Amino acid sequence: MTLERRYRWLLACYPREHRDQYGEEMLGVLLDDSGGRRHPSVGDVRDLLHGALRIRLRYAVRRLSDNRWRDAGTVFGLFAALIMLGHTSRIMLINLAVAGLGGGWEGLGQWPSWHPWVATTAWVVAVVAALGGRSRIAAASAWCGAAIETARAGVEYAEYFSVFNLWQVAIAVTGAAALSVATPRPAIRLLGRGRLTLLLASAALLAAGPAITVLVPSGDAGAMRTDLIFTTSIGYLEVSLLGGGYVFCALALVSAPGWLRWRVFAFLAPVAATLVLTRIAFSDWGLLARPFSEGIPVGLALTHWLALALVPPFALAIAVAAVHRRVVDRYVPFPQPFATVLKVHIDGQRGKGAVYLFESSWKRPYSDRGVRKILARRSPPPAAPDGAARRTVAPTSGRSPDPAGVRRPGPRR
Amino acid sequence: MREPTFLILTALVEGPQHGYAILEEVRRISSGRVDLRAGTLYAVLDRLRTDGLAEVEREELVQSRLRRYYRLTAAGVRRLAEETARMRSNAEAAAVRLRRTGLALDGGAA
Repeated sequence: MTLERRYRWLLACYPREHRDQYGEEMLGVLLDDSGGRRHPSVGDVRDLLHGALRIRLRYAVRRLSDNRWRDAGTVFGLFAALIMLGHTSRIMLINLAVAGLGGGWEGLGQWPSWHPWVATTAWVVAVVAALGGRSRIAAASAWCGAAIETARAGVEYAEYFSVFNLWQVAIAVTGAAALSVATPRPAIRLLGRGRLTLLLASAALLAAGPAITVLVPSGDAGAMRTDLIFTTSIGYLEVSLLGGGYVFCALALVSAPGWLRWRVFAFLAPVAATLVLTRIAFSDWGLLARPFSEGIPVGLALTHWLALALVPPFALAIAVAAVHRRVVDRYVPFPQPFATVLKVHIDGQRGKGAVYLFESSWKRPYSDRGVRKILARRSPPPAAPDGAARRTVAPTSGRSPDPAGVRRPGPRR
Repeated sequence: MREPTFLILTALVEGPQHGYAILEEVRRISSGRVDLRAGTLYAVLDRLRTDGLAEVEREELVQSRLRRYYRLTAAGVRRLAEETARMRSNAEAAAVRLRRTGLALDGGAA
């Protein structure tokens, strides 16, 4: 293996954008500075690895402080607040429905507990503030809701060793964090009226579904139960209402523009990870089956706590990286040395009055449109002199950008 | 401002330089005390370009390899001057106190 190849391996530790920008230049400097060595020195290896880590961190911070992530934070924060509102107000609405049917609060047997009311108030404030672009109020209120949710989950674990509903803590905390970095732009501007209506309808169905089943007697029409979503046995009417809520919610997110949709999905990754961990991986047939004693779950082991602490943030990091890779991959930049050669060539050909540099069929994956855009950015076209003949410069084969393939205008046939 | 950044800005004061020339210049300025290497150099150059303190002056192809020449911007010159004044002021304050307590004489060790 040559010294150049060894340095290329080390340079592969840098993010691709940095390599495109500086890779060849760095390689030149490393080889010039090698002093005839056959192997990279220990100092060079340490310096390159340290530099790669710094650059990776810098790029990650730069990307995450991008306004598009903050806009996605607004949308995800609203989404999380609406889902939490749906869940916390559910008990409250059932209480109201039962009280309405039974002729007052006496029908409940006991006064409903206070925390769903406080939590619902917190999430209502968060939703209204996020809709109005008051991101700070929305974030503060969402953190209150998340704290109540965490306390509820703590009580649930202390009483029953249950982590079954921990995904609600995950979505509440992720939503509050997203609102903390959100832009102060009203969510309606980012989502549009249609998608916002779908989200609101979804929250209404998730909140009122169980209360409606109390009010509307559906008879003994059967019930269903699944491992991941409808985990308690519920009637088909309730399944339809809640399922409708989930479908509306999914429609609103899936129909959002790509840059927003993928970022919101990335925010959802820790929630999905928590859901899968607590409902599948920790179940008695899962990878991390939790201990049971005589059919009753006992406390989680250290492995489970570690999984709960590490897997959701790791899922978020992977999702963020995947979004960036997907977004960045849509741009296919030329390697820097080629772009420089091309620029020299373009300038030379433009001087001769050439206008079009590439031709390719629309069937080809790399169309000339992208190439023209890159060229236009690198070298703005000079004002054509009046009456100057427009010449075509193109390789004879459509796809290969051969700078030498200059086509001169011939006589018209 | 960290020392490599200060020395790289200093290396660019007298005119545009390419990467390898900056390495050599920094070693010369620091009398070999700072052994700047490519990883650190390009991490700093990337930051300086982002902050608008340095820019690419021209690009050349030498032996089929890209060579970029970097130069200071007006903001870079101003920043270097401010940093130099700050460091000078700190150095003078330290020297005065060392002399006053008799721990050092004319910059020498105590």
